[in-house]
Amino acid sequence: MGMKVWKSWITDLFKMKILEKVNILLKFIVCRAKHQFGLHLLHQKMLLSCKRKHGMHTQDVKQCPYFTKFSLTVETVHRADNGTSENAHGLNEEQLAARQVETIDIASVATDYWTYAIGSSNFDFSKFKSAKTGRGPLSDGWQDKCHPVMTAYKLVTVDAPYWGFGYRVEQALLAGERALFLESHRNCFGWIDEWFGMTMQQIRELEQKGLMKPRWKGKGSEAKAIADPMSKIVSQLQSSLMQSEARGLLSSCSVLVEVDAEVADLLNRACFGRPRITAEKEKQWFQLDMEEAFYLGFSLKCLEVVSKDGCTMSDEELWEYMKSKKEVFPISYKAYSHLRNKNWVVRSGLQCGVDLVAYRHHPALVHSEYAVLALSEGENDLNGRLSVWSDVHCTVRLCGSVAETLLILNVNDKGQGAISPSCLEHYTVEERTITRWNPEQSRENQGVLENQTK
Amino acid sequence: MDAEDWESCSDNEVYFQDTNKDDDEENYYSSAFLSKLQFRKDISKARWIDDLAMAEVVEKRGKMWVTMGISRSGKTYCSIEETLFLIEIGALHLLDEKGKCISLMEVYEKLSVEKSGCCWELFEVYKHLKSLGYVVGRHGIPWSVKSVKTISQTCSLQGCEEKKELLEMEPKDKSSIVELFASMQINEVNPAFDVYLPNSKFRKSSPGAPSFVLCLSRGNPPSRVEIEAIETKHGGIPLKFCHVENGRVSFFSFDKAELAVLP
Repeated sequence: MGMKVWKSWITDLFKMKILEKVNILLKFIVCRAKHQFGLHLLHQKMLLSCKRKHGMHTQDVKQCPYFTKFSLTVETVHRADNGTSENAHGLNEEQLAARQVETIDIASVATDYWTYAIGSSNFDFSKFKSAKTGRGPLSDGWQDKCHPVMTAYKLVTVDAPYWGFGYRVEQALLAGERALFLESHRNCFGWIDEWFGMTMQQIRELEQKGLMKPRWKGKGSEAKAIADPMSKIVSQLQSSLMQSEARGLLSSCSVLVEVDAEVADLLNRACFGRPRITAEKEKQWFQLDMEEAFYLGFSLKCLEVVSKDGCTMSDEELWEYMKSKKEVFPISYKAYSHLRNKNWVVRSGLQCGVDLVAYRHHPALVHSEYAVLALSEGENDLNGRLSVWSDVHCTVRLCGSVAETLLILNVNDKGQGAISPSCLEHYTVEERTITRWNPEQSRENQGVLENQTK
Repeated sequence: MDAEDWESCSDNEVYFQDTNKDDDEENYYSSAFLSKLQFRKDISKARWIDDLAMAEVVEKRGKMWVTMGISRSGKTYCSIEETLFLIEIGALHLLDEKGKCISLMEVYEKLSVEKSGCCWELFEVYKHLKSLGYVVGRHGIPWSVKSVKTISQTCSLQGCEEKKELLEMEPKDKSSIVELFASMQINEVNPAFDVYLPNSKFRKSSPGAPSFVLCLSRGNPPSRVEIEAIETKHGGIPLKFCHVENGRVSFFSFDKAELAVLP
């Protein structure tokens, strides 16, 4: 780095108040907490294997970028001994002297600031009973009444050697870790009916397929999505459009629609089209893709499309027109409607190098789950995608960078051709995922679990 | 400090992405990497039998024989990929039928001729997985006759002819192993290996079902029709496809999905 750059970098750093730096450090903790929740299945996997053998598991947290002397390590030993081990990690005398022991009971309902920050899943173990295992409910003193009782011995070592605030940071981190452990293990037990009975291979496959819990954005998103299912929003949109007798204007490959505030809101919530910002105040303009417009017009029958000479177009006319603009329109439309009919939110996948991107609900609430390619059956895929290995590598890699799974929709026209849109109902769609398998990763997890404590 | 602020930490998530998914090009070629390969001290001996295109193990040393080679009539035979793998790490001395030592170059030559049911790409795949600790065997070849006997009871109901063939290991039957792969052509996708997870409890007498069956695809990615054909033939066991290019092995799953109908 040149001298000038050094100087400004150092002055910037000093300009930041201590409090800001601590804020960054603590943000880092919460991020790690979120990341750890993304790996909840790893926790489950650990518990699953540790019923059978004693295992050691170490997690080293990456260093925080602004604090290079900082380190945080978590080591875990699982034993089904109800917390009776005195020194599960085999610490020496010096370490034992510095150690503080805390017992965390998953049935406890005490909450603190950290629980709020991390978020909680609201299990009530005094009432919970597992259907598959018969375990629960966990009343007071359950540790003495249940057998066996699995104990996770977590050794957290934290070092923040910074004058002035280091001690406070360490304490805050420990409190954070405690809350994190409590929450993740509560989840492990609370979700027992979901994972109990799965084999290691099944869990591994699930992880790699990315079929873990969908990645909701922020607290409360999942609840919002559950309260407001997409199917309902779309049907509201349908009736609203019908009532307003909406008409779309065809312009090359787009359809422009002028709508009132109510319909605009529904279009946004159902994720159809893009709003156009204009100076108009009373009404709002939206721009729809061909697939979106055809879905609203042909499948939902709530939109009429008008051509440039002012005439309403029939379904067949619109179909012909769109085919003329896009040779693969029948295939791409079938894929689009297939997903929409299952109540997924579907957007263009152009930016990800694929045809479509599928979301479990509105993109503001959840990250995308699938990057979708619509391929036509038979020897000649019109676009010739994925016909060579480099395509497969490239597309899977692109998807991986946005943590999506590549979904292939194989559309078969069953010899019906594409003369009219009524042919569509005979088309079949087969779903397949293409995921990359990393032998190093799978084996590593297995290896960790196989380790015996000596 | 507001808890709400901490929620919007999405920009920090990038620190925790798994950045090490790709091969590290640098490491691959550095001498540091090469020096990590550990060569064995216990050296076994085997005799190459041309008719079988397999090596008969004459002297066994080391623990790898638990997961390598097939047992027939009390003897152990290993395929060309197993043989080559062991020679490369210095764990095996190979002799020809007259007792003369076979050099590494000669074994490479045998492999390049592609008459032993294997090709260079398959060997690369074998080596890659084996080095990581997986247990790899040729698809359709039982590890030992004992395991076949238990399978054959159920198999005969489904009519697995190839298993019955291999039950009696006369020399002429051994060659059927070679025939199973001798006609492998480019662009033809066929199951190549049965792969088991690294497992110290693996036993040839009862290996159990493989974790997955691996198919090599040399030319282009498998078409849906090809994938379905293999799936129906080996229903139940997961399938993976691998591709080797420029010395790198990539693995992919092309599994059927069942997208949920959302509320």
